[in-house]
Amino acid sequence: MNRIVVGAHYGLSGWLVQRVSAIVMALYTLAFVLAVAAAKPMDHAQWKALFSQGWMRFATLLFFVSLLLHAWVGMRDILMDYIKPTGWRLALQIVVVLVLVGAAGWAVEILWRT
Amino acid sequence: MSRMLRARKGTVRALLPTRARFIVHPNKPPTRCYNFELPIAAGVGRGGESKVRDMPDASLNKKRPLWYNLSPFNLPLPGLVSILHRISGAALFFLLLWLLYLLDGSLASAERFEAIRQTIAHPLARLVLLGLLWAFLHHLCAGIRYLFLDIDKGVELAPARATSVVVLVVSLVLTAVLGWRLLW
Repeated sequence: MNRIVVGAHYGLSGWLVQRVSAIVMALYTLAFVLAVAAAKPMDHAQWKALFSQGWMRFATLLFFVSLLLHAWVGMRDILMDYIKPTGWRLALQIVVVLVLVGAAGWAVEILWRT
Repeated sequence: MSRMLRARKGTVRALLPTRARFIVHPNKPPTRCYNFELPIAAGVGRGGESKVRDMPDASLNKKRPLWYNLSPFNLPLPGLVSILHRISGAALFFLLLWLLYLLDGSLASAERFEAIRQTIAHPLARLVLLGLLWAFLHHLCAGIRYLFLDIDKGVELAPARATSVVVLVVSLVLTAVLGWRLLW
């Protein structure tokens, strides 16, 4: 490969983002399972109360932001491996970014409306 | 084996994540290629045909079938964990919007909470949710394994195989336990 090294990151930031977001989501999963096991929400009021707590709202926001970044790196890797024509790859990457940003926005709306 | 089938198997190989390709052949010649007559250096495997054609011996000119067995269930265990990690991640991405729709409805109002409860009581929805639960748990367990591989823990062959089994078994058991608790 005749690549001239001129100081870009060559994927290091994506790699790091993927790992850090993975750890955040793993910790959130543990906390969420414990919170559900403790609260045992059985109806809408209890389920809503679980997500209305300040720490839970903040943690869930962190989870969704991590999900956005993590899924972006992962889907980008998949598209880079399997989609060879540049136009298709670019178009699909744009679709992925729009879906993920839209999903994160929707998640914020769900959390703060609650 | 027909030419077409061979081409398809080549495609399966190309679909493996890079990590899996390395794990298939850590530092060995292609051991899954059962071609006993051609020496490896004479061009067994991809892109070797032209080298073979230049050889003087007429018997080496003959194109022989290559017997790659690349079905996911014939991969070494670390390779299986790897391709399932990718498939489960993609599945979670594709069903993310549906999951958000369920969360949205369940938090919106008591009526919509009941409607969502009806929706996920449908056998098909339960099957999809169970599949997603497995996808999430496998992705989580395999991801934890990769974090340890990142810091050079468990990279030897024996522990790499052992932790692959642990990932596969633990995610299936957790799916059964949590699926039973949450969905039934």
